[in-house]
Amino acid sequence: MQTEIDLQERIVTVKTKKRWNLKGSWQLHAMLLPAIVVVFIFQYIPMFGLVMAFQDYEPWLGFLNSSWVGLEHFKTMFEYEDARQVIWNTLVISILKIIFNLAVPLTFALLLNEVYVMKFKRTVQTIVYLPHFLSWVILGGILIDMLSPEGGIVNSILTSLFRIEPIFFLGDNDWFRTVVVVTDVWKECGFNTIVFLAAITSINPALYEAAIVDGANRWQQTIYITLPSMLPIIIVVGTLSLGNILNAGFDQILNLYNPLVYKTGDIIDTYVYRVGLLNGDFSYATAVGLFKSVISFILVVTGYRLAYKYANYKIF
Amino acid sequence: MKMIGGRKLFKKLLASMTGMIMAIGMLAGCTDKEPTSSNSTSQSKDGNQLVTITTARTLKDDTKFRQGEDVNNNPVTRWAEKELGIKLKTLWTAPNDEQYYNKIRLALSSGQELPDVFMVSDGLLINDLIRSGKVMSVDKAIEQYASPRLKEIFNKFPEAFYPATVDGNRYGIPRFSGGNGSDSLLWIRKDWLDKLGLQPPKTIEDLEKIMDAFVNQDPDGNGKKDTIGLTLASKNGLATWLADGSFVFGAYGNYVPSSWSKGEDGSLVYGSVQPSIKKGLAKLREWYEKGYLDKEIGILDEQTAIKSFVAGKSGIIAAPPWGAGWPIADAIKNNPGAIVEPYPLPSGSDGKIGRRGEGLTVGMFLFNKNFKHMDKFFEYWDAIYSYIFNDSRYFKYGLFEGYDYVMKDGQPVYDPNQIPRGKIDPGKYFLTTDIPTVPYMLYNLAEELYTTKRKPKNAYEYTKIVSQGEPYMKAATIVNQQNQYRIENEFSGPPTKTMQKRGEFLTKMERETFANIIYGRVPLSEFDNFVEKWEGSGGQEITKEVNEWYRSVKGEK
Repeated sequence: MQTEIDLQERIVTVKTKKRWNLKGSWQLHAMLLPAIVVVFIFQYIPMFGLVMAFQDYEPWLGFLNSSWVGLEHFKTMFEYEDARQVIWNTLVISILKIIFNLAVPLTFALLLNEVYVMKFKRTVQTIVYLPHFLSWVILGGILIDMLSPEGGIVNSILTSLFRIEPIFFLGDNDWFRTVVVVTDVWKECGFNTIVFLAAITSINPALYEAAIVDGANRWQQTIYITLPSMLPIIIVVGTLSLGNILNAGFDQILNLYNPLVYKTGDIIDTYVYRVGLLNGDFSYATAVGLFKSVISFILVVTGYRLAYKYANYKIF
Repeated sequence: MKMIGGRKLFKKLLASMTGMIMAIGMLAGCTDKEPTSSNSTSQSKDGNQLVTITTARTLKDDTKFRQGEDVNNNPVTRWAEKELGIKLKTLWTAPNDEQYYNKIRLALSSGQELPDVFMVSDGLLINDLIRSGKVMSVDKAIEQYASPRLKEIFNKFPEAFYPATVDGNRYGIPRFSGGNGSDSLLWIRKDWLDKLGLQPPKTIEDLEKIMDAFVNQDPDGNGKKDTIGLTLASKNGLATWLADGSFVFGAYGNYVPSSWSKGEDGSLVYGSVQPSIKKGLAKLREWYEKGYLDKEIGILDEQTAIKSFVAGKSGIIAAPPWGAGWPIADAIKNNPGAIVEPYPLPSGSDGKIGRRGEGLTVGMFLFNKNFKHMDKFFEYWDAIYSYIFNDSRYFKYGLFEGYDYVMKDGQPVYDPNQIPRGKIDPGKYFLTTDIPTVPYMLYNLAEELYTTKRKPKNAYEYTKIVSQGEPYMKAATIVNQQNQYRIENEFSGPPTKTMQKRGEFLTKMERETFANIIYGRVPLSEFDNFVEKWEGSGGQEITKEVNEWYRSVKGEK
């Protein structure tokens, strides 16, 4: 009996689903159409250009007539130390960015959550969020001024407080990555803070009440209720940023780097930009770009699987 | 009941929205489809044949139009139509070079029709266009249609055709630069020199003494040691168009960094790897250590480097004569009492002087292979050149009355305040996107006007030289008198095969090594390692390829 009812129920759902698909919602699907067309035209069709990576592409011959070279360009990528160096730089910078872009906003959101003066909380939230809207072109100019060893505000404060020699932040290989990560976290942490704060507010207050009854203090409440409840959203943010592991921030680096810090600051995107756009080696640049995309894709899939397996959470 | 009502409303809304989206789509589809009628001829009002020449161009912010006018309707198009029987039609414009090249590249790879005439500066794109067979050789057309005076200029500067020469055929007409227009000279704070009782520099040694005084003797009198000697840009290379450092290298040999010039055997060699560059780097390293240079020189490009000079913190900058307007004028305005004078470049220990020489061309004009009216093109070309040759029947007093001049009591007046609705430069409407030039002509005229103090003879001399002020004319004269010290980049072809493969790596290594040497982070001997590595990582092949190119454009086998 039980199974029969189950079966019947299932058939009903399948049927309703079908009907839903065909009749009730065609307007909704029609609304989706323009977006699909746009995505298809601008995201999928250009993917055919990836064949360039396996060709010796000449613009006037096009994809159809350029000669094929197989994996030649990929070999080149690993053959020369300069390409290996930029891959390494990219990994270091982006991993640091991923970690700090999770940890800092999370801490900040937890702290902000403990603030009871609403006005203060809102103001801080807004101020922290503001840099997100500034472009790196503008910030680049501002940072170069601020971090200048000659009268820059950061060095002025450091020298007057600690009596140390001015530090040439943007021209020093030991400092450049730190500057990149710190400024990126400063610019972007407001966004993730808001995401995390939203997650905190959606936690069922009954859980806290129960904890208080059990005698948990604020710290224990945070550890045993707030954090576990936030886990799904942390996983989502973390997994999504995994896909960016080989995007160490083109705009940012391009506006801040210089020959003095090529050794630690040059990343895949700036490298591709110089090779492809400035030197005109389209095929090689495409090969590097494709390599980057494949790695990102693998990481996103892995992140998704891990999230499902260990946190039982489906992102998509 | 209520539910159903809501649903109906929703459906209606949906329908109207879909409709709207479709309408927008159709509109967008309609706008930019216009038939490109290249080579078409049509009757003008008075019965003459009107030839249409299509083009495409960049339209930068500095090109201003009168209200109601645009790129296809302005004094130049009206003039060409009426006087020459040419209907100039700009098919599309782009706000900057990057987008412009993208559009041309797109047209090339998607097989679209190219405009009849268009300018390209990018060497690689010129080469791609020529090899695609979509643009035509201009050898015959020059022979048949170019006026004698145009031929004379073309013959005088054969190397101007090199960027668009393939297999001995010329495929483009050069858009000339000023020749020495962006070559540098020294601009020095005269008030600082006077205050410290110093003479202008004749040699690099003099210059070092001056820089030392500028750094250590508090020339701005604020009691702080916060001044530097020399403003240099290095982020984009040390030989550049503003805050130029090429003279330091030129004082020790015939080479400047990042530039291909003739070696002792007449073949082209790469400047950056020549031994004399090491001497120049040694000097810069020493100067940096002594505090003569900006501490941040490694991250400064042309635009950011000049800040120190404009702020009155630096005493010397190497900049072209046009620097008189910017950044020199800004420096004078910002620092009350500042006097900035132009001086010739100093010489090295054995009397050597050298500076980066600007290339002869700004770009090449290429022609669609189906373009049939080269005769008309050269007629137009000669007509616009007549403005600067002072024999024009079209531009006697200026370009177009009411734009760059007005007539008052039978005399032309160029004062912007007297021109109703303000002055506008119609030279920007020409195909050349500016008033055409002949290499060296402008500074030759400037020198003549400055040394003889004669009155300007025509609008060109007045607006381009005399009205720019005395410092500019003096600087132009100095630059012109040092013309024999130009070290020009003789390689103007597309990037060679090995350049495309390894050029990026080599440039990066060069910039990094030079910056580290100046900063004293590596020993000077690192330069020798760099040269060795450069040769081994593709430099030798590149040198070979560059010389192959050089021989081929010169017509040698």
